[in-house]
Formats: sequence, structure tokens, C-alpha cells
Amino acid sequence: MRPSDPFFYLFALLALGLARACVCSQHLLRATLYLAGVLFCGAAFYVILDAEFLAGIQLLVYIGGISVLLIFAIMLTRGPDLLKDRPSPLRRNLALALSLSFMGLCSFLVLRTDWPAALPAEPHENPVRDMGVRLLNPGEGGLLLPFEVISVLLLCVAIAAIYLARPGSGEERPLS
Amino acid sequence: MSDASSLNLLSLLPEMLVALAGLLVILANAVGRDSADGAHRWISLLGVLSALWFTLNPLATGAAMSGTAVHDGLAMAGNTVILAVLLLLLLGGESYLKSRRIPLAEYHSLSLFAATGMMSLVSAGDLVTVFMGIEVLSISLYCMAALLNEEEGGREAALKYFLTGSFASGFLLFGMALVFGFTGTTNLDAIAHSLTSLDTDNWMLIGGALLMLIGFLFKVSVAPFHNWAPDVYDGSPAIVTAFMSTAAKAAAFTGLARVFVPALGEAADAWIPMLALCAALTMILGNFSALVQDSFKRMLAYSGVAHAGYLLLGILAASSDSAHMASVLFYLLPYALINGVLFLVGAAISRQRSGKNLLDDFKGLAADSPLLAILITVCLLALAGIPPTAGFVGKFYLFMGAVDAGHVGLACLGILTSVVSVYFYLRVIVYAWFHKAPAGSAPWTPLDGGLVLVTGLSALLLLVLGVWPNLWLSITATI
Amino acid sequence: MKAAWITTALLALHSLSAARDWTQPTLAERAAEAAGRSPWESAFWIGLGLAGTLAAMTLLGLSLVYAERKIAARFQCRLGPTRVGWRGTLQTLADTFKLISKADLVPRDADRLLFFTAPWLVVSGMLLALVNIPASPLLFVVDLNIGLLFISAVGALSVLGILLGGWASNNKWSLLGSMRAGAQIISYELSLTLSLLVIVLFTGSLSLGEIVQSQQEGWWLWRGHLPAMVAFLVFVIASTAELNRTPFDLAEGESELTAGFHTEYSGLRFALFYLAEFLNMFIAAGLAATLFLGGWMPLHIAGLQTFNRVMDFIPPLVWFGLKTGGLIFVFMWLRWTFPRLRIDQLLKLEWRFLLPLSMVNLLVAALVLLLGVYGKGGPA
Repeated sequence: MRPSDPFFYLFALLALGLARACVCSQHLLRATLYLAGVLFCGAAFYVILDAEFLAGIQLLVYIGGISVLLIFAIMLTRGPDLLKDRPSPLRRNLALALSLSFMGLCSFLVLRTDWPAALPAEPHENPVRDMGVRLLNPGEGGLLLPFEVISVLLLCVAIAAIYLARPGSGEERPLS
Repeated sequence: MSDASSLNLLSLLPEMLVALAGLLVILANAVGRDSADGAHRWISLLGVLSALWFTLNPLATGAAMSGTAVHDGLAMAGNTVILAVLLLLLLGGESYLKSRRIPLAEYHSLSLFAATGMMSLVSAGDLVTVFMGIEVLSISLYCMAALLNEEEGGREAALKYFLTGSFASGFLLFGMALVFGFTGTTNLDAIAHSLTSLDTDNWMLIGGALLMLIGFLFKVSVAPFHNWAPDVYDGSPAIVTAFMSTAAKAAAFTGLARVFVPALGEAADAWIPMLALCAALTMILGNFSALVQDSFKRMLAYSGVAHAGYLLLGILAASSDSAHMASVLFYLLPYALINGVLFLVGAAISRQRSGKNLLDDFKGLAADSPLLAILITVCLLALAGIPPTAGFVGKFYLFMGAVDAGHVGLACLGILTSVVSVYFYLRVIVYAWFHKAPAGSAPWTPLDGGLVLVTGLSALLLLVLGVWPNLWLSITATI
Repeated sequence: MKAAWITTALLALHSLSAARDWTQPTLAERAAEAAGRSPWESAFWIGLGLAGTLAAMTLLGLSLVYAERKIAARFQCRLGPTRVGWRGTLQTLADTFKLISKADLVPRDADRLLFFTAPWLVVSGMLLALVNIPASPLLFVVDLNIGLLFISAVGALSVLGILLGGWASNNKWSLLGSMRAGAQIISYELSLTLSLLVIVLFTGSLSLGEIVQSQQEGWWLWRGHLPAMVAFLVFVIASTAELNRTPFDLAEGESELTAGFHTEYSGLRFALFYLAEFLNMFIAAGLAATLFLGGWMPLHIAGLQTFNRVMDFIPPLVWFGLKTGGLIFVFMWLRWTFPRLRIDQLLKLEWRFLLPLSMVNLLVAALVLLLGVYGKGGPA
């Protein structure tokens, strides 16, 4: 047992509980808060795995970006009484069965696998710099091309967002 | 394979030209405002034509950017199909864009960026590039489906496409993560190489491959993951449907072939049963659902689902002998051209009648415009796979490949369902030639010249390829 | 264990004296190093870090509120607090007791869970950022190798807390205030991060410890030439906006929204919001001092040996305090000098001016770095 193990189980339990609360909450904004909690636990896992940079990015993107965006969207669109309609028992059971089977599939994969190509844990002097160099490296092992394609992706997203948000492209016009 | 560590930027020229054209369209819109409407089309045309030129006469081939992109015969054929569709829509879609008031700058730039994504997917040499390519093409298409979001069904289509598409991306990514975990690399060549030495009877690999397969099958609308396609095709603007049902499908199929046949070929035992099952299901469901449709767009959507099943037969064949890849690539071009043309022409014809894309709108077409009726007849016959069109040759190669690979039952199923499909294609032809236009319909106004021109050219190409298939086969067979 | 106590005592003395050795292990490093030897010593260092942070938080909170009131009074030709303690120094302590003993009001229709969570989110975001600030070579709790990224990341917790607090209060002023605050913080985060990246570019590291060490030869404000100066200005403006302080205090403009997102809060929870506001100001000023003004590094002027020697005798903690205090004074000065911006002016300033400026600035910084024209002694 490594010293980080108790923390792993602590955060795993927390993540499970929060995930359940997020899915079952009748309250959209609370569900968002629980979701932010699940994502925070994800960041904690990254820290336990010695991937601090990913943890920081997880916090920045998912809590600072996605969760805040969700909260903004909820605040701008709906009133306080949310999710009045309870899902039918059929839908609930179907969803439960589906998620349980996916969980079963994942656990099955994890348990039945004899992890063959476990990557050698190379110590990185400066992991952030290595990551940056690899992303912008056109040479061996570099991922410059996908990185460039990301810029096209972001441009598309920007165009799409501006088009969809522009007054006149939807039924309701903004107040201003 | 050329030197993997070289930059080889010249081989990426087609992608760069298309992306550059997209950027120029935005710039032209920013500088010229409303006066730049014509410029969008000319910039796009110039970009697509030059990219097409450099695709067919490449300055450099082989691996580029340390193997994250590979320009081989597969990429060349895939890029040609994508650019041909783009060209077709640019030449024939002008009147549609004007009449439906689709914002030109957004449409042109997004379609060019989507094409950039498709081309990077087609020439991907790395799982990361595969995923980025798919995401670029998907995100652009989500927004393009919403270009007419004030109309009935427009928003629903866009949202449905977005939700199912992101679900599929999730599967794809999870599968990629498992495959990466197993092989320790994302490079497709390296995956293929490492699988030769590893034990492929491993659950992580099988799970990864199957999850990736589900992701891809969602994107190419194969049953049982096809439910989104009819609604999305129906609700999107016809020109966008023409684009997503052809170019996007061609790109996704090429990507599927690239990931599964060379890279995961060693693990074929894991994914072939699922692929075969899906192919059978798709051919049956697609063709039989198309039988009962009243809407032309939905009929074409189900026919597209059915054709995805035929194309899967080609992939199955290629997994046992990669020479059969040529038959998939061969069929993609006629399939893409026909669907592109039919969605555009169908929308233009329907506009003169009910405006709801009904099959009834074709009634009396031969009396109003015999030339158009002839051209559409050729296209539909090609889709049904009747000689002497390219559709026949393409299907022939696909079924022959399946027989060669030992999937005789599937090949028979394909032929049988093709016979079923003749019914609903013929229905349109019969409506056009032997029925009278409904009473009280508005007098016929001739269609836009560009649209008739591309329809004619496509029909001509279908006939030419049907007689001399080697013109295109020689390109697709150079893998 | 005994050694730990002695080291602590020395540490306290050391931080006030002129420390010649600038590469001391941080408290977290000491704890990690001791973990193998004796878990108790490790726990001691962790406890010391926690206690120190909490003590610093309390002291800073008390003194900053006092300073703000005194300085505000000076700007308005008043005296400020004078009664409690010598020249009113104990006024904030008294106010704190008053706040804590006040009735804890929760609006009837408030969402209680979110209402109770929100202030703690804001405070925890602030605390997580605070432990990263290097106050001197010895008073440095954690030196994460992603320090800067971490500080911007935990800022997200504060945004979350503000948004949820405003919403949970079930009050339209609170809601409007929190929406304004959220939108403003997200917008200005962009140019703030871009100006941070200039320094990251120069030092090639996100670790605050390394960033301070890289300024031994001179502060980045001078060595980075124009891009660093522009980045410094952008940083000060953007962090003023991030802190929701005048002239960017639309989020709590009392004439429009009573008090913004914390209108409905009282007692301890209000105190937490208030504390977080002032401590965030300290963090912003400390960060600016660390990134651009050399942190606890003394002022050196190339060629003036004697001057440099004299400067070295001033303890690092004093240097850090002087720089941070100066910047805090600037923040207060801005607050009591400028009128409030309108919302459109605020958005225009960010999206039309600061953001393009800081993007171009980042490019210029990259050029400066590539051409190697920044001051000598930079990282290879």
C-alpha cells in the first residue's frame, strides 16, 4: 500500500457519490455543482498519478470553463423551479441498466487485462516543457499536425458560436 | 514508406490550400461586408480546384510531419472524392444558397474547414490526427446543419446531430485510449507493428477496437447506430445534407478503413464478427425502411444507410486482402456524386411543387423537363446498381470482394437487398415519367444552369465509369 | 523532533535577517524529505505550513482592511478609524468580533445548500492560491512546478462560489451582481493569463520559486523590455477587474445593486466573502511583485557594487512586503480616484483593447526572446 492509496479511495468514493447525486438531482444548478465536484475529484486523481499539469488544466478547463459556462447557461435560460418532470420508471430503469452495463464492461476490461505494454515511467525533469516541446515538434514523436488542426477546430467553433448567438439567427432576440 | 522523420510539408499542400481558402473567405467577409458575396464562391472555387489539382498531381507523397499524416493512394482517393463533392456543391448550389438565404460566408468557410478536417482524417497517420480530423468535420457540420435554424426541424436536426455525434466521439476516444494503453503508441504504423509481437487475444485491445468501431459506425450511420441520420438529413438544409451524406461519409469510411485494416488488422478476429453483423443489419434495415418513405430526403437517407452496409462489405473484404480496399474507394466516388446531385436537384424540384421534399413532387417531371428527367433517371439507376452505370461496377466489385473473403452469405444478402432497393428507386422514375403533375401546380420554371450542368456531368461520369471503370480504378488501386 | 523546533526558531530569525542562501527548501519539500525519516517531523512541517498560512490570512485580512479604511479616509480628507486601539488599529478586530457574533440570517426562499457552500468555495480558492506565494526564501509553503497554472486554476473556485452564492440568495440584486462578476472575471481572465504568459516565456517555467530565482540578475520589468512593461500594466488593470474593485466594481456597485452577490449574506459568511476579497487583492499584488518586480529579490543595479551590498542587507521578507505593499497601495489609489465604468465601456476595454494588446504583446515577447535581446543572465 502506497501512501497515496487512502487518498485515491477517498476521492474515488467522493467522485462516485457526487456522480450519483449529479445524475439523480432534481435541481439543475445543484447538479452542476455536483458535476464540478466530480471534475475536481478527477483533478485529484491526476495529482495522485503525479500528473500535476493535467490536474491544473482539469481545474482550469472543466471547473473554470465548463462548469461556469453551464451555470451561466442555466441562470440565463431557466427559472428556479427546474426539472419538474420526473423521468418515467421505464426510462430510469433503462438508464440504470445501461450505465451498469457500461460499468460492467469497463470493470471487465480492467480485470481481465494483463496490462502488457505498461509504459516505462521515465522521470521528467520538466514535464510541462517536455509536453510543450512534443506538441510543437514536427520531428520524431511530435504532434505538430494535430496541434495545427486544433486551431482550425477552434476557428470553426468560434464561427459557429458567433453565428448561432447572433441576433436574428434565432426566434428570440436578446433584450438589448 | 518514405523517411518518417521528414517534414514533407509539400504533401500537405491540398489540405493547406483548402484551409487557406476558408481563412480568405472569412477575411473577405470581414473586409468586404455585404459586397463580398460573390467573392466567397470564387475564393472557394479557386481553393478547391487548386487542391484538387495538387491531389491528383502531388508534388510529394508519403509520410509527413513525423508520420502524423500519410499521403498514399488511400489519401489521394479519399481527398479526390471530398474535393469532387465540394466542387459539385460550389458549381450547382449557388441558386439554392440564394433562394434559402443561407449566410454565404459562414456556409463557405465552414464547408472548407469541414473539408480540411475530412482531408486530415483521410490522410491521418496517427490516432490523434484521426480524432482531430473527425472533430473538425463534425463541429463544422453541426453548425452547418443549424444554418437554417429558424425553420421547422432545423434546430432539432442540429441538436440531434450534435448529441449523437458527441456521444460517438466519446466512444471513439475511449476506444483510442484503450488501444493506446495496450500498444503504448498512437501512431498507426507503430500500432500495427506492435500488434505483430503482442498477444492480440487481450480484452483491453478487443474492448478498445470495439468501442472505436462503435464510434465510427455512428459517424457513418450504420445500423443499429443509424437512427439519427434520417431526421438530421431531413431537417438540415439540402445542400448541407448533400455535403454530410457524401463527403463526410466518404471521409469517415476512409478513416475507418485506415484505422482498422492496416493498423488493427492483426486483431481482425475481434472486430470482424461485429462488423459483419452490423453490415447485414444495415443492408436489411436501410433498404426496407426506405421502401415506406414518402419524403424524398428520408428515402435518400435510408438509401444512404443501406449503402453504408454495402461499403462495410468492402471493408470486410479488405481485412482479408487489402487489395479489396480499391473496391470501397471505387464505389465512394459514384455514391458521393449521385447523392450530392440528388439532394440538390430534389430540393430544387420540390421547391416548385409542395416544398416539402415529397416523392410526389417528381410527378410529371418528364413532361416539364425531359432532360432533367433523363439525368435523374441515370443517377437513380446508378444508385440501384443497374448496368451500364458506375453504380453497377462498384457494387459488383464490393460483392465480389465479399465472396473472395469468404462472406458469401453477406454477399447474397447484399444482392437480395439491392433487388429490394430497385423498387423505391424505380418509384421515383415512374413518378417522373408516367405520372401527371398534380392539378393546380405552378408552371415549371427551368432550373439554374449550374445545377443542370453538374447533374449532367455527374450522369455522364457515371456512364463513362460504368463502361471504363479503369479510369478511376487505376487511381484507387495504387495503394 | 527537537531539531524541527530549533529549525523553526532559526527560520523565524532567518527570514528577518539578510539571507545569503536563496535556495532554501520550501515547507512542503521539508515535509516530503522528512517523511521517510520520521512521520512526526513531516507532520510538523505540514502543520506549520497550515498554521502559518492561516495566521498570515488572519493578520493580512485585519491589516488590509485597516489600511483600506485609513487610506480611503486620507483620500477623502477624513481621519478614518481612531478610537479602538492606538490610532484605531484594533478597529477591524472589533469589527470581526461584531460580525461573528451577529445573527446568521438565511433568506427563507434561499437554496440553503448552495447558500452555505458558496462562501467556502470562495475562501478555499483563495487559500489554495495563497500557499503558492513566495514571501521569502524561507516563508514559502509549496513550490508547485505548475505554480502559475495552479493559481489561475483555483481562481475558478472563486468564480464558482460567487455565481452560486448570488444565485442561491434568491434575490435579483444578488443574481445580477454575481452574473456581472462572473462575466467580468471570465473576460479579464484572458488578458490576465496572456500577460502572465510573457513572464512564463522569459523564464521557461511555471514554478514561482524558479521565476523568483530567474530574477537574480534583475527584475523582469526592466530586463523584459517593452513586452514586460506592457504585460505589467495589463496585469495590474486586469487584476483590478478580476478583484471587482473600482473602477471595475459594477458587480457590487452599491448605488445599483446594494451590495452585489453578497447582499443577502451576514455574519460569518459575509466575513468570509469580505476576507477573500482583501486576500485576493494581496495575492494579485504578491503575484505582480513576484513576476515582474523580482519577488523577495533585493534591488540590484549593475555596476554599483556597494549599493548592491547594502541592498542585500535588507531581509527578503521586507523586500517582498515593500513591493507588495506598494502595489496594494496602487490598487487602493485606483479605487479612490477613478469613477465606475459603464458595462459597455468595461467590455470594450477588455475585448477591443486589452485582449488584442496582450496578444500582440505576447508575440513581441516571443520575438524578443528569439532574438535574445532581453537582459543578460536569462535562462538558456
